[in-house]
Amino acid sequence: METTSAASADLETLARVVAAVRANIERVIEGKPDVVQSALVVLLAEGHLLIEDVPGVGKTMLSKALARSIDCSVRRIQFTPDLLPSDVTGVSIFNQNTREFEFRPGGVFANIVVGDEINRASPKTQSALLECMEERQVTVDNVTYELDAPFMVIATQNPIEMEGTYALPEAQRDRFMARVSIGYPVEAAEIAMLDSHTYARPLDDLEAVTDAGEIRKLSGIVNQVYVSPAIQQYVVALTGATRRTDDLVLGASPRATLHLVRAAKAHAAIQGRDYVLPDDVQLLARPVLAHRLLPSVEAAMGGRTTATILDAIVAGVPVPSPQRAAGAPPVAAPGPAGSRHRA
Amino acid sequence: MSTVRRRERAALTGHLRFSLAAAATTWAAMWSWRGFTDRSGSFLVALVVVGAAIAVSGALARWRRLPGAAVVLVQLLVGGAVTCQVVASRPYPFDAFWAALSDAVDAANVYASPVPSTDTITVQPLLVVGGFVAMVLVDLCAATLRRVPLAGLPLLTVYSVPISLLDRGLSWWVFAATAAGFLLLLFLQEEEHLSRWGRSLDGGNAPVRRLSPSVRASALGVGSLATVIAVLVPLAVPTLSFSVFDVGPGNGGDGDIRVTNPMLDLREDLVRGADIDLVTVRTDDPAPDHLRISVLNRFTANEWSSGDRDVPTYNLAQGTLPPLAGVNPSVVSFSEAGYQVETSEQFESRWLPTQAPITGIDAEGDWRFDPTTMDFLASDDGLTTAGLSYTMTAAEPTYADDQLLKLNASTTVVPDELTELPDDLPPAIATYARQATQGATTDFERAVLLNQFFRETGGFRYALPDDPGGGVGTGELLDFLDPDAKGGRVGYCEQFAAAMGVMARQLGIPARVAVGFLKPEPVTSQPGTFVYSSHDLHAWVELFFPGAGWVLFDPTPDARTGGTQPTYADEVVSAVEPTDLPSTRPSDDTPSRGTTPTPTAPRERAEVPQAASTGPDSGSSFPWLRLLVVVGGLLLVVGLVLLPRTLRRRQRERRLAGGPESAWHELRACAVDLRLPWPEARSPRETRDVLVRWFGRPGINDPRPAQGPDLAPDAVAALDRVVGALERLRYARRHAVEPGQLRDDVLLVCEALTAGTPPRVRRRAAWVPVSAFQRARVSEPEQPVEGGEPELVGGRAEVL
Repeated sequence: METTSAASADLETLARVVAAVRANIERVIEGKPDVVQSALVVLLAEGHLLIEDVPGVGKTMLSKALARSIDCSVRRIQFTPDLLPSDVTGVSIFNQNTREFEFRPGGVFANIVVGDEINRASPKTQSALLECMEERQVTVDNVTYELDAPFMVIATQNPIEMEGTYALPEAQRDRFMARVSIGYPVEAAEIAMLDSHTYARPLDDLEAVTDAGEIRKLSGIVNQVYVSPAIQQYVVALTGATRRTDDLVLGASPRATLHLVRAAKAHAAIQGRDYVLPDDVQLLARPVLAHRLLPSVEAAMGGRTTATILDAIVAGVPVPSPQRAAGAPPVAAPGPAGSRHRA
Repeated sequence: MSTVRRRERAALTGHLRFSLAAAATTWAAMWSWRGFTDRSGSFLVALVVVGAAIAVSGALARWRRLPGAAVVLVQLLVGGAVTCQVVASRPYPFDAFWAALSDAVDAANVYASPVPSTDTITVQPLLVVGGFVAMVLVDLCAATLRRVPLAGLPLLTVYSVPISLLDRGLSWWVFAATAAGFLLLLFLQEEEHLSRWGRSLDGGNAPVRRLSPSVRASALGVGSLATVIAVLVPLAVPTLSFSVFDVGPGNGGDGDIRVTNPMLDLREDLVRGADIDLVTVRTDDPAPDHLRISVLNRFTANEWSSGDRDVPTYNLAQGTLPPLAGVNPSVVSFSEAGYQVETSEQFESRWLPTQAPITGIDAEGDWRFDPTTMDFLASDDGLTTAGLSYTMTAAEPTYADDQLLKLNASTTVVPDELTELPDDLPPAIATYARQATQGATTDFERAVLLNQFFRETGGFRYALPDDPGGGVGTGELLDFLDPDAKGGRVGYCEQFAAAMGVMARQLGIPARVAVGFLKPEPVTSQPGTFVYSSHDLHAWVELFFPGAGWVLFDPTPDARTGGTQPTYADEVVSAVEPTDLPSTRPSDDTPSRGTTPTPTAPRERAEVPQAASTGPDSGSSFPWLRLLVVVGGLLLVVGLVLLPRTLRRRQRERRLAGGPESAWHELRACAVDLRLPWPEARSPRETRDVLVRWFGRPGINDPRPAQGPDLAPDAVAALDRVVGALERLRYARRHAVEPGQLRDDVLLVCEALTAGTPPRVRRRAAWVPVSAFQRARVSEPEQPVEGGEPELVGGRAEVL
């Protein structure tokens, strides 16, 4: 109604594709629509996804299902302690026949890279992913190789096992757009899973419902989603509040702000809107911001997690209206949520 | 259907019960006002009618579920009409009503309590109107607002008004009755609360549940105990500055003086040989007589005594004194006479001799007066009248004798001490009293006959006693009255006064014995100067008649008093042909009190008919100004009542014609009016999620309506449209909403919100919309150019 017909058509296409991919994934991952939604948002927002959960809840299944739903190149890297950076990025090998160094691409050269148990690799190998994820390029022997779009890293990690693991450094965590936890399925979903997974292998039956080209196009549509000044101020107020509160020793980075807006745009587009609402931002604040924050010792001792601190901040920062947005002080969020949590 | 009807009937009964209990309680408290007038019956009867009108109209209005303000309005109209009818015989406040009320206010200002009731003087309208106001207030607190404890305040006010204005304690049973009524109201309210607990399983077949008998018995026990304790505890607490209840000889507080019996001194002075000059007065009264020293209120089996006196520190013998109690100008008028008094050094009295009554006095030292007796006593140790000099203004009464004879006594308007007699009083005294007053039709005639019995018809003889210790106990009185006893019918002033006082009380006439000087000797060298000596000491009687006040009777035979008598005491009383008798009788050549009318007397009496005649004159002209003021006041009240409603309606129309921001603002105002939570500074969707929880099914008028989004799907859809429009306006690149387009949606949402609230809240939202007084301006962004950025308006509006 309020959008042009072209934009409406784009949004309809997007909605159709997303619905198809979602249906495909949900044939494998049952009863977790929120997690699937987050994965799709990250895909369309051209981010990377970190799936963190205990073993056996379907982390790898989710990443594989997403990868298989899209007709594109998929590589899976099993991170182990002896994995070398060159296994990730690739290596130049001397060809005896041509007597030249020949670049053999590593596991990262694909549209979707599934990094399984990423925290088992050494920090050296983990950091090999850094350049790829942020700059979407690989440099080996002074030669830079561009990665094809879409490029999405879906990494899984297990938060329980500490033996022989290397926790992801803050810099690397910051490069993931969102972190999701799958969690245990509800009883009904688990029973349904028994039915579907004991007699067949549903993952093998999955067929691609879209392709890399279409995903690229959809990402372009997401980029066109409008973010009003009020929303921009709201996002800045939220991330600013995480930096000011005493409950957190590390707040959200400007990259986090950027990721939050991009994710909100993708979410709005999935909802069929060409503009972002405060509700989009609120909904995505937790998956997009929580894994980047470090709680203070006092907060941790008080039993407050980054998730609850973030919820308090979201509840405390006022939602701006257009009048407010045009007013002189944009959003002077004085960290009310943080102070509320002070002991 | 019959269940519904039965429930309705039970509800009406409940309302009636509560209202009638409230009215009855107020009426019981109004009994404490009966000391204000000598005819308490009439205003109390009138208040029964007024109270019934208020209670029934209030119960019906509440039963019809009218709002509280409307209930009070109905009660004011109905009760006011009944009050006007009672006061002025017309059901609306016409001129006669205001005139009656104004006269009553004047009467209350001029006369001390108890105010006599005559054709021209009455405070009844004031008491009725006061009772009406009290009843409406109590009903408002107890029945309309269901705040029974709050009703204690007007009840307490009603009860404490006479305590502060009348100089005597109140009956304990009035308090007990009021307290019982108050407790009954509390019980009814709590019973109502208790019976609402839980839900009965029989589906409403027992619409009104009653408490079990044991609970009721416990409540009754607690209430009775509380009342008894409230009555008894103040009596036992010695620190109270006055006795609240007149149930016996209470111990006074500050300034209280135990008075020794002046009778003993009198007797000793009388039998003393030498005649000593004690008091010298200079006055413009040509014939001063009875100079009173003190008044004896209490008669026990052995003696007359002054009783216990309460003389507060502010009752100093300086300046003007309070108005006289219970006097009516058509019966008695007063002329003033100045006195300058000097007492000799030998005269050591703790009591200050004064004329009775007096209107003003100026005496050095801490002399204080008892307001009920108007005698003066020293409150400083060592302060006596020896060598004292002071001035006073006496009020010389002039009685209309024909009016006097029609008077009857009233025992309810004076302290009980003035009517009490010992239980073991010999019945023979009563027999003498009845025989002496045979044929009299009024109490005043009885008093006259009693007086004449001692002076003339009873064969009494005056003689000073040989033994100065001779008393006036019941035994001595019986001997004194018995013509056959040794020394019978022979006595001196004290015995005459004591006997007449006792017999008057026996006849139901409040009586007291006064002690003082009989008649002074003129000092020939100084005109206008008189001397009271020790042989002039005397005792006489004062009887109380409403309208006339305390009237002096001197029963001591002429041998002592020299034949001077007030004219009224010489009236020939005949029950057979009273009209044949002259109303007044020429006095002796010695001028006496009352026989020489002062110039002021006729004038005062003439004023009464003048005042009466002005009534009809002023009634003939229509009171335009008063009507204008009343109508203006009513319009003002109506305007003030309607103002918030009107403001709110105008705001609503303006907002409904606006864009999404205005529509949103209207929704907020609607929620605020209905006292619903409105999340501030939250996104429209969050607010929407809160609002839909309060939706009710439109068109259902339930006192406890169900709530939830499922009940009004249309309203939910409408709210979604409003929210969508607002979101597009606030956050989208383009928006296109015509002003007024959301009108129907907003109205639908408001209707659903209203349907989700109880009727009481709805009425409050309609009549007292708080949002009308909250300053909030809405700024709608202007319609943007296609494809352009929305033009944002400065942040003057509230963030919603």
